[in-house]
Amino acid sequence: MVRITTYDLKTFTTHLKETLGIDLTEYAQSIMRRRLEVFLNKWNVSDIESLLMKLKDSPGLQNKFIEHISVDTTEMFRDPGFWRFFNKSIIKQLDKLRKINILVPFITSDDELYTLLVMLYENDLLDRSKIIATSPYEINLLKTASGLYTKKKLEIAKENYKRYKQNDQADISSYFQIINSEIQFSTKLINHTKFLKTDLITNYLEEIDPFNLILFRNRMIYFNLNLQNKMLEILYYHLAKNGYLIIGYKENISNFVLYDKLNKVDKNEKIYIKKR
Amino acid sequence: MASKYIIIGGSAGSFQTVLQILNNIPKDYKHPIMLCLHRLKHVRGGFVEALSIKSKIKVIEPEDKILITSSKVYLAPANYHMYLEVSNTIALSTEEPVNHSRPSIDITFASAAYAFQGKVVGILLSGANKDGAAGLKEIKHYGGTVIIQDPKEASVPVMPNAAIQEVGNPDYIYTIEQIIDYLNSINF
Repeated sequence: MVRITTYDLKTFTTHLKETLGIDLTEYAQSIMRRRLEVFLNKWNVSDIESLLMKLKDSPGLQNKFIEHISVDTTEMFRDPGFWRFFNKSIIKQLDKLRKINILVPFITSDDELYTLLVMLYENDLLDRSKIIATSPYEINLLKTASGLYTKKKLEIAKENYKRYKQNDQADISSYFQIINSEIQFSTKLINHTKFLKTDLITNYLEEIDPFNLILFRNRMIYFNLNLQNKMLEILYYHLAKNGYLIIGYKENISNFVLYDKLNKVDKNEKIYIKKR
Repeated sequence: MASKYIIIGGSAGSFQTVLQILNNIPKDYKHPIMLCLHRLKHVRGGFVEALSIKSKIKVIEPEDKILITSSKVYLAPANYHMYLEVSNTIALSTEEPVNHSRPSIDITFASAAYAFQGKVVGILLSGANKDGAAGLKEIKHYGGTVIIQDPKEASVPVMPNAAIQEVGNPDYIYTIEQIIDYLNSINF
């Protein structure tokens, strides 16, 4: 088994940034170490020097690596209680708007975006919504835009959806179709999304209206505090007054320099609103 | 930085045992205690409260990137893996389940092993799968102390047995009474 030290990780991420422009230098170390170890063992690569060489030579492996590092293993309707709250409280506020601008930054997994699309559709808000999904990595955008979904994830989505609806008969399958034995999420719904390649860490979006909702759950956990703050500053800038910023149940933004300029909407959920 | 990090893993049949341990450790215990217990993924609340009834030490479910301090019990939240970082903080993740589990005991054990090496005391209790075995092996590799609940005493011995087999030479195979005595003997 290959073991990675903190020093190895630093060397690797520094070289990766310099040579391929993939910047993982400020990711959470313990998680990155493990992901790197799993990747090396899975692809039978003996050390980080060899991995760097292989990544330089093979764009295919680069994509596999980015997918692996990106962590796409969250779930549709993860935390059904949160989505019930969202449905009860936030949807009602969004419904008051003539046009709803939504940002789903740094997508790695399709789950949060697809869940949001289902929520908007079921509440008749989709036609008024303009959704932008971003990622620094083309592969993640293509994957999400394709709608392709795995059977295993669909099984989990079915269970979560029933819990969200609190109805054992509720069935999320109608949002999926099977084409050539592949499972695909409704392209009719996905088509309401614009996919943009950008990192939102060093770059602001240009010529874009402020967002009424930024859905950013369980992404920052993969960053260190410094990187979290950089990204939060950009997201805050793009958030409309009275717009919602939503993060994961166990994420914490109390260290964010502009934390005082946000109000928490509910004591249990991590939903913040930008003060006027 | 603490001088020891107590990491406890458990699954089926371990809840009463954990309560017994927490009930017999003083409020000002000198080391942080991390608990990684297999739990229902959709039930966010209630677990901390259930443990707090018997625990003399404060039990919390940590948020991401918080600093680890002594005299606290950190319970891995539902549906997240809990890592320990070299910087003495906690990192959470939604990576794929390991051994069908999220939180996975292997992940908490292995990250602690690397981050705190000889300061780690890894304790594995009753359970019905093999989670924790590979993590204990990492603790051993990095010079920490490995304690496995005596399978004869565990309500479900599968997990302790799997760990004994994987680690080969655990430091101790202890009953709950012995685990409690050990934890109190290193309270300095």
